Amino acid sequence: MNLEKYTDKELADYLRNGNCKDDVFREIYRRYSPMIAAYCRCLIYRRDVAEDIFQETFIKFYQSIDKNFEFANIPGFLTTIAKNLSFNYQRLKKNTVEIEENTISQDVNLQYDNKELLELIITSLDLIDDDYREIFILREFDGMNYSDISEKLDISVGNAKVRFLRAKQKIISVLSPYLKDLSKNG
Amino acid sequence: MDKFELLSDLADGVLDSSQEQELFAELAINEELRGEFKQLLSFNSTIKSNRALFDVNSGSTNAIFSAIGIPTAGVVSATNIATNSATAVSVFNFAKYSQAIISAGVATLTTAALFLLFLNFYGEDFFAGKSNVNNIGNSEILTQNEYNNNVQNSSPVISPSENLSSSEKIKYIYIEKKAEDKPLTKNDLAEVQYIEINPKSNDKPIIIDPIDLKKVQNSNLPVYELDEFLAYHNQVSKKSFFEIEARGFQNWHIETETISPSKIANFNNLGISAIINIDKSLSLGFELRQETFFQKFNGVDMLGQFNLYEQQPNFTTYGMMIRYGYNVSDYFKPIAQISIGGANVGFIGRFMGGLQYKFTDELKFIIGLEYSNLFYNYQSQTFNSDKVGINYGISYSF
Repeated sequence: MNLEKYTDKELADYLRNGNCKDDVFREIYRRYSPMIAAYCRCLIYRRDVAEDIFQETFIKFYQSIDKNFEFANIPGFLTTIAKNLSFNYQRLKKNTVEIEENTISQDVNLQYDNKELLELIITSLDLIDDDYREIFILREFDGMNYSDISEKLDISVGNAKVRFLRAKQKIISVLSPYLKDLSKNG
Repeated sequence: MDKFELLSDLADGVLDSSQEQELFAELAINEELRGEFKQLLSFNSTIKSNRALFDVNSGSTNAIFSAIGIPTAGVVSATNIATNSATAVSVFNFAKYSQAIISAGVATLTTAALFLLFLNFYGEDFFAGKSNVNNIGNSEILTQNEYNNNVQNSSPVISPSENLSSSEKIKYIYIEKKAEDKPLTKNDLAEVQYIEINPKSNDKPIIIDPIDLKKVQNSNLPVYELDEFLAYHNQVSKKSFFEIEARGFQNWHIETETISPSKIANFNNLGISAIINIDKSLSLGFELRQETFFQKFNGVDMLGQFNLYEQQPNFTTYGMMIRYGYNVSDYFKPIAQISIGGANVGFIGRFMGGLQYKFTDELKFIIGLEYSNLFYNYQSQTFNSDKVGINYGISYSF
């Protein structure tokens, strides 16, 4: 079953009608895993830990899905799980006994620019409507062009562009104070 | 086109030259617009420069889907598999062998059902107490509202000894450091996490948080050290590497037998196999059997007379086999096996479907329905003799 054209809300209906939870999860994973992977890497400095939190996030999410699951804001729910897991990790880390160095997996740290801003961008996706959010994710995170997006979502190219720009404008207006500081410092 | 769209197109480099000049002119005099443009550039560059962060590690994807027990393959892949299977069946000439295959399937399912029924005398706890594959899938399901509380107040769990019998999932435990240097108690265990060990590789499990092994040992809690995990893992990998299997057969020839052997060889309808387990699913082996095949063939003798020959000689046959099994639980493994080999008169091909039941890590029982076909030549003509049989036996792993 190809669920790519379903919105998040339609996925909820699909699930409520007694259809397969696994298919729904697979589609949500396909849709949001790049964003959550990036979010986890913003939250946690250690790449291996970020990977684990990413995995745990989707496992917990899968365990949460049932027929009554509220699909209003899936990315928001996923980022909340990831954030809680990372807080939990940080809390445990502070209180953890050290072991011999050679038994601990090595950090693979990569430097990325403005992780904090990226984290804010992902978090601020909560504030925009589903229709706009999906196009924003497809365009910015999955790197799709308007033509591909319009085909995928069965809307016109112009409509895709308008929705994307509105989503972007909304996020930028929310992050405006932070962005102003950034451009002054930059 | 509003200003934001113009700025966005400019930032993306898709604005046409006339509009570009107009916008540049406006940017030169409008500080607010310049500020907006800078914000847009910061926004764009943040996403573009962090593009690598959005790559999802395929190992993570596999780990997630494995943990929740669903295949990663999407609809397309599943369709491909179905198509490929259908192709394979058609190449195999289903019509010709359908009767034997259907019979084999029915017999295998019946055998499996009887076998399950037979095992029921152990009672329900037999499975409930020992089956522990994929503990994550059985863990408590959180509702959305419960989620935050549970994450913040995860209850301590100790790895029970039974869990070590699962070769796929092994728990490791976060341990909080106590403020004072006292032995650990159960309350010190903060959270149980899961790691997946691939039995095919010797990769070490990834430890997120370090564990103070000495303190764990001193606590007298049934918690296993990393080294024990690895030792167990290696043991599992090596334990089932080599197997010896002895099987008996009850056969029925497809062609109605009109003649019986005048003398049955010792060890008739018995076989022994040496099997190497490549991994948990795939095995290769060599087998040796003592069996009979009913042969009915014809030819012209030296006097030019047409003769029909019927015989059922004893054969010592040998063959190479490849076996594929799928673990449906820690104990049951449906198997499919193909073997090719021969006797002193010709070539033998066999196919078997069946079920393997693990009594212990070393000892397994196997039952299956097998189709065998012997091809042989007489006076440059090819004849064949085929039969179906029930195979039953035991195997021992070293």
